[in-house]
Amino acid sequence: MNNLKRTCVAALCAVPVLVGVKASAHHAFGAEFDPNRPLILRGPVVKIEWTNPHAWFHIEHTNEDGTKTVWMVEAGTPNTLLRRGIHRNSVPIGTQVVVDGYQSKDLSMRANGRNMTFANGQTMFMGSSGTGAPRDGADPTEGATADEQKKLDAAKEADSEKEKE
Amino acid sequence: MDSRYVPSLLHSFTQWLDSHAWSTALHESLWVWPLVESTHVLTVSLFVGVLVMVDLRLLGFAFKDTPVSVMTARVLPWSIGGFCLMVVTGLLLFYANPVHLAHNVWFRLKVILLVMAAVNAWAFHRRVSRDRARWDSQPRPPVSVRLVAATSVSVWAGVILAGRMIAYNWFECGRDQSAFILWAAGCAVDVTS
Repeated sequence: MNNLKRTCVAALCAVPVLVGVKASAHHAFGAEFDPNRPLILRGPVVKIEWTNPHAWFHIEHTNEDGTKTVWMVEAGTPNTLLRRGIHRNSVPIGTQVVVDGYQSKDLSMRANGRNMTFANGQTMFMGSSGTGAPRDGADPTEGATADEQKKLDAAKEADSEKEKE
Repeated sequence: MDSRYVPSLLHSFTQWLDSHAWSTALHESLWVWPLVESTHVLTVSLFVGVLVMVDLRLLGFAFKDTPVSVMTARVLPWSIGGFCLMVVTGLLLFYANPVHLAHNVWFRLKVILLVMAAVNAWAFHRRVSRDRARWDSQPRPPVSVRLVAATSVSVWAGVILAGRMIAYNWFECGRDQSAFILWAAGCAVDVTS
């Protein structure tokens, strides 16, 4: 009994340490950004911070009333962006882009970027994977959304039914 | 001078660090920064992992048949190796982003906890040098030793948690913050810009 008690205490002592080490890769989407506030920003890139662990694109968006607002859009790491084909010299200041993403929870002019589309139609996923962001299809590594998966499963089942007949 | 921060010696120092080309290069690097950060996390787990096992021995929970001196002689070299790499990578991470980190409340909390851990380690070594021979082989060392071990586990758990929280910028200067956060993070009150 005494041994059991001691083991339990030891396990409890270790829990905060384990939790702290485990959660090391990303900071969670939900802590800062609101999945219910999707937005689309159009305009020139006015500044880029190529910093770790997240790059930040500053985009001057033109509002409906003609006024302009500069938004800070969070992207993946410089390394992630390089692997998707863009580096610091490939997006000159002034490049016209369309960015869709989600606004920050504190309603400041910040957003979590998802897709960035260039004037030639090229689209790039600019965010980080595995952060718990909505499965909106922007991240090519996340696989099918729940709805898409349901449709895929239904189609598969229909196929196997046909084969039986 | 950034209007988001209260001017101070610390602020001037971090701005000077931030002006170094190497600081910027590290902050923007494609491979070195991720490597340094990963190494920091891995060496933290090596150092704290070994330390926790020693603390569990001192608390009378683990390796009760092994004298404390035997256990520390075997495992502490690993811990010290981890510690050295952890400190070097930690300093490099600070060097990459000094202004921002110096005004991050979680980072400040982490530094306070690190100082507490250092004081605790110093207290332990004083205690050990006094009369370790007396309790070296005891399955359950005296209460003062166990207290130091319990403090060590708690404080290091706190260091790791505070370190993890640095990534979250809820309390960043330049946002609407409470008076306590403004004071604790060294943020300037006038942040309307």
